[in-house]
Amino acid sequence: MNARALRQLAPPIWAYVLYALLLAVFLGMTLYPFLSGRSTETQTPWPATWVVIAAVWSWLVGQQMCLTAHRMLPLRLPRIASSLRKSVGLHAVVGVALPVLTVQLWQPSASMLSALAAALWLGSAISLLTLSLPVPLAVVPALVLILGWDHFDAPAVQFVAGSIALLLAELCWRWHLSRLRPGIWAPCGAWLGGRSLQASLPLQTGRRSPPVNGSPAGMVSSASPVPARYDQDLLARMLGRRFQTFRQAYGRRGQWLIWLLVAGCIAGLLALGRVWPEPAWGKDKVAILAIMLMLLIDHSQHMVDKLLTKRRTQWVELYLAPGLPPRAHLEGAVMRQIFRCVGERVLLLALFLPAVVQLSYSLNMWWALWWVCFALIVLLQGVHKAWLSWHGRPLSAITLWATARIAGFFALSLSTNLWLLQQHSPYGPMSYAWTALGWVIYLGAMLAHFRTARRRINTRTNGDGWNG
Amino acid sequence: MDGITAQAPLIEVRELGKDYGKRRILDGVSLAVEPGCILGLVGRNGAGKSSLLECLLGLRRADRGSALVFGKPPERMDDADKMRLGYVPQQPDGFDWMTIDEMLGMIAGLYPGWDAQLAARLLDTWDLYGDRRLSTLSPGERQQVAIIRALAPRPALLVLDEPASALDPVARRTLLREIVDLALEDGTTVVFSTHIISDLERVASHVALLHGGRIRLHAALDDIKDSLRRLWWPASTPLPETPLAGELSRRPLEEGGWSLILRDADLQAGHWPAEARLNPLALEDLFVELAA
Amino acid sequence: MDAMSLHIEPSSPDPIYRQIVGQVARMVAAGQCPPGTRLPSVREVAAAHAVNPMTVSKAYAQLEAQGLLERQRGKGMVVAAQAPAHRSIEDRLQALAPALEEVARQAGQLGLEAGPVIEALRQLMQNEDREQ
Repeated sequence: MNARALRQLAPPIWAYVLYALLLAVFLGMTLYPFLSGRSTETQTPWPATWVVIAAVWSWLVGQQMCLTAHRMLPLRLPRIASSLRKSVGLHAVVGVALPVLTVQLWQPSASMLSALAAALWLGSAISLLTLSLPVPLAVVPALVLILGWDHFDAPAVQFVAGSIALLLAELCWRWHLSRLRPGIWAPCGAWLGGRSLQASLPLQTGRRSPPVNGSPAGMVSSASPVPARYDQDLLARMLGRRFQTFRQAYGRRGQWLIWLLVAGCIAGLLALGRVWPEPAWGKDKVAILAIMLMLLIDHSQHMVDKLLTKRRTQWVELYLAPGLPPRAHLEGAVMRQIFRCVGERVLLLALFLPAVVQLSYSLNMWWALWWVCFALIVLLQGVHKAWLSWHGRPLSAITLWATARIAGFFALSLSTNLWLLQQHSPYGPMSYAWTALGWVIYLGAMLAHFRTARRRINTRTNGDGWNG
Repeated sequence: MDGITAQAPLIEVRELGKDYGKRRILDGVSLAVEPGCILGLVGRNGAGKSSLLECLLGLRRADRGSALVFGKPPERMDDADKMRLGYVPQQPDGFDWMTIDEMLGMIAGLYPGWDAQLAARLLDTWDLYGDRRLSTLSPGERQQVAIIRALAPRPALLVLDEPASALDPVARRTLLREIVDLALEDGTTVVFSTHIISDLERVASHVALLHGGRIRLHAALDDIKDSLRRLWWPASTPLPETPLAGELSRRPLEEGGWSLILRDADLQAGHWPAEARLNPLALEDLFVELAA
Repeated sequence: MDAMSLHIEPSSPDPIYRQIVGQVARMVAAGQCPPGTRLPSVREVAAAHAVNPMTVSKAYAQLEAQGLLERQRGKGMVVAAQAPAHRSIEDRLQALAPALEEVARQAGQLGLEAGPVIEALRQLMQNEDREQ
């Protein structure tokens, strides 16, 4: 195994830097009142924050660990379980014991120390459990923790919950290690780790249809001759089920069945809202649920990533099989297919989620408007990210901005969503005008970024002698 | 083969260059493949064999130079050209959700000249049951399916990227027979990259060695074996700085002395030390000498 | 004569066409293949050994040019009528020359005298005779 492979197994250096930074900032904030002598308060502030920090650490480190274990599996290497346990122990030392020992230097009260340790313990364990679960179940621990945080707000409970999570993670791995299971039953961590690994491999290249008949770059669609007729359904079959609309995947009858099912669920939820006006769960968490529509942004990107790296034959067929769009129109055809497929899923969730939200809130006109725009932006961002992926490893600046853009989108959506739902906002004085202004600025930035990315990728793929 | 295309090369690569980051993988590769040729492309791991094949099919964008397939740039290939082309990628993964029959059936619908008999015969030879899902196949079996998919349209040009890497010796022999068969019946032109020199020596008519980003050697296999010899030069006599007549490469040996590859060497004609020995050269040795 | 009676060593430094030429020439010279014997077709040889058909054609063309083989309608390649069935000892030794050169070279490398080598060869040939 060469040095490059070894380096990829270790967590990236920025993981350590990020963790150290987070630790430094929050340790400072935790210890500041204590050190300045202003407080003799025995309680650790922000247990939730500590949970999140520990979870982030385990999240960053655990992906590589899971991926390594997962890759050892088909090779039938011995002692996978024991090496996993060892590395979990090592991460626990860094993630839990080290901060606790550091705080110990200032000799805080025992209760503060135990609260800190419990929170870190819970965070690490939950994150580890999430990474160990099969992909479809991976959101469950986080959901349970967020929705039921009130029940977890005591150190003893956190210790117990963390230990249970660890036990469950152990069971998960026993299940994983018992047999090689493909696809979605792989541990979530291996899935995520594999993705980031692929993204860092240098063998992806951007490609773009060259101008046809000498037409200038970027004007291909208008200047090129009318394409021969091709079959969009055939393209969808080549791309695979994840790229297909319900009709393409399950036929007309399946499409109708799915929509009827969704309509039934929505009707049921609406009826439930009538007879059961008092919600059982916390309100903020339901609002966060709505934001989950954003997961679809990554979904489309992941589809294309996988096509480029793991589905080589399909990729080749797109280019070389007869009956598919000619090279100059291939990119457009694939993007259209992604738009249709992601669009259908966005539409479905956009109809379904408000039915859930209305259980806890009375929806208003403004929120509905917000929701429509939100869903549209999700769709646009999804297709754009898929397009970036189609062009292989995008330039790092573009990727960075795309991440920042989505982070901004998340923050903006979360705050405005909550504010619009609860008229008496706890998030400061905002008005409709300010909200609208925020969104307009965001949209402007988003469109500008789309344009920059397009221009830069075009120059990159058309210019000669591009390096990198 | 019809008379018109028989003259022009099926594949023509000119000064092709490809970089990955700062690493220069292909550095001015030029290669022409005549119709009816069976060209074996060899080179060490990471020499850029796959990149070369992918660039010439337009699956990867070359940074410099050009490639022509059927006389046109690969991105201009139309459906008629695509029907005359078969390609086996190095990692034959994909279509996980389909069974072998479904996948081959879907592809068969795209080719009017699909040879269903050939496909059925190979499935039978390789014990592949049509109702198995592709995701359950071993890497070798996947490669076999990819090979069937590429051979059954009876292409005029067949490009195989390490087709035998995951195959057992029996399956490999079957593949070689099928290649020979296509070459005999349709005059198919074949380009394949491989590490397995004995396969290449069986079926190839020509050999190209890719090393250091360039084609170091491209010649008919028989000519190589007829004309190239290895000269062992003793340590006792200093080796002239200037290349000897017909010298292709020289390499110092660990135990002293030199090993040289010469073209059309003649023991009597060369002014060599008395202990120098001239030996015939197996292709594998030639590969080691030129790519070491 | 069928395709499998040819022995082909792809990894030998000797090109495959020369191996075929040498073997057929030896068989004809030794009288194993009398005139009129049909040779396997190019297709049969290529398929049986999974070798390039052009190599086989090349070998046959050379043998035809040497006058050992001739093309007959309907039968394909046959051993030529005027092919010398029992040639002189000198001729037959000439056909054996490449193999003997190889033996001589290797014997020299091993530092063997001619005597023991000849004795070993005699032994081998007696065994061959007995087997036949």
